[in-house]
Amino acid sequence: MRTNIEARIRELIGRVAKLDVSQLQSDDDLVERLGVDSLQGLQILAGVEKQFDVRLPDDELIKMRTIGRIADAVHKLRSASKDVSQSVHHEGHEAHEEITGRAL
Amino acid sequence: MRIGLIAMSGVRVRNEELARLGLTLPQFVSRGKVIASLPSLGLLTVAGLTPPGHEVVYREVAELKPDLALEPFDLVGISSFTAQIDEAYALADRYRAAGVPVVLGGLHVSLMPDEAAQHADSIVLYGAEGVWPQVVTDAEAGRLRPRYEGLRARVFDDAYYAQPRFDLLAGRPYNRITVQTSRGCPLNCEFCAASVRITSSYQQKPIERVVREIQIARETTRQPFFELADDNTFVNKKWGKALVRAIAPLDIRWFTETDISIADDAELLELVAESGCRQVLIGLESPDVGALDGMDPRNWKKARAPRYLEAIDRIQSRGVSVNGCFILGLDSHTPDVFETVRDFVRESGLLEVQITVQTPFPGTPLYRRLQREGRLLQDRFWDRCTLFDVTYQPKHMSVADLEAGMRWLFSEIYNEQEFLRRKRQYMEIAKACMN
Repeated sequence: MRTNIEARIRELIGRVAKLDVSQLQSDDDLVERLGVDSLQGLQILAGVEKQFDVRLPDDELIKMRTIGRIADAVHKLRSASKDVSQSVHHEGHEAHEEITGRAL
Repeated sequence: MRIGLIAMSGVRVRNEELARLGLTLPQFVSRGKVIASLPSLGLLTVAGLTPPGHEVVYREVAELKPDLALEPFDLVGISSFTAQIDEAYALADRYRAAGVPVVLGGLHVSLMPDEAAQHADSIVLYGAEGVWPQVVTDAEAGRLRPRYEGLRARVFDDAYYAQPRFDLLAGRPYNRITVQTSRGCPLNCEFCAASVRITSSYQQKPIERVVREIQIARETTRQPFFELADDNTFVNKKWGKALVRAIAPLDIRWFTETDISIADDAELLELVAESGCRQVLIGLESPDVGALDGMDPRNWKKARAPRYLEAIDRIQSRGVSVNGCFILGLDSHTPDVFETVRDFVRESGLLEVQITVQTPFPGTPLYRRLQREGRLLQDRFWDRCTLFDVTYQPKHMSVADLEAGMRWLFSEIYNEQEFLRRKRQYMEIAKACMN
């Protein structure tokens, strides 16, 4: 899953910054090494949020300087959201049991 | 001859509190740094106009060491804006005392010729086009005239045009290179001290020349970021579309200054975005419509102001950010203006903001009006024409109110939290526009 996220981010960066996807490394600094400007950086992060349906923490936007770091953040957010959704589902199940007195 | 062309580059702020504040305000500092590190396109053009057979040396004033002996030249040309003019005069005086003839030119010199003439063997008014080759010939023959008048119109005609010497910038660490595509501006705002004051009409450079200049500048400097050094690039939408279509294949990123009417033309906006434009700087001046009354002779900006928010949104939704510029201390401004600007900035989603104080540059209609009304604080205040120092009596507040209000607004707008908020707003706009 993490690998897939990184591949999709790489494609997005290649498209926004007009870079050769095959040349992009996980730990390349987007600004220093790849020459991504600040506006492209925001467009990339907006694209990431849209594509993965996540919201990157505002105070961490400035730290999202490598593909790997962005992928980690997305992976973490998606895992957390999955845990929450499973936990909500589980809690809902228990509550339902209490109300109905039987397992679903 | 060995000709030294010296650029009085850099940004100056005299107000100590503001200068101190600037050190801690990231966005305020960043645009200042960009401006401070731009090469002098005027002098590169002068270099291009220099007849063959002379060695031309380009220097930034920061490269000159005041304690060391003067670099040897046979002729020195200095160009300066108003805030640095006294430093330029001092340098000119040093060279003249050493027996080196000095020619002064540029905007301030064109607007204050009698003052400038006291520090030069010769002054050049308006553009250097049409006159610089003669200046060089006369200097070589030892018969410089005290005053030359360059062109105010037709500056891009074949007979007068010369390609700027971008090769003189090779090896220097500029973060962007300037190329001019037009000169003048039809709006003629009262405060403007830019090229409109030295031109008789709005002029556009032939597009093939702009393309060639970018290609040459890119080859010699390896810099992919360009600033179109215009005062209002997209006055003529048809020409603007042809321009951006021509520069799109050059694979550059660029910035320019234009007016809010760029938002009216969806096709132009699309082309601008596709050609690599990263940001347009637009003089919004004031969110308060009444404050714009009389700012330009046709009240063009006043008519546009009610649709500012919609226009900013339209531009930014194409992937081009807007740097919105506001002037504090306009005649209808009361101490409420600071909060009004802050609230407008928050609502607008502007990615970047430039706040300056109204400045009566000598030679402008604003200067003449404030002088007539007895509101200038000093007779001569050129070193305070920094855009951050108050030099006149505001109409509806005290000087201290304006200074304090500006400091407050700076701290409200240029802080890390607001910077992040603007980034977030921009990302939301970008997301909303994605398929």
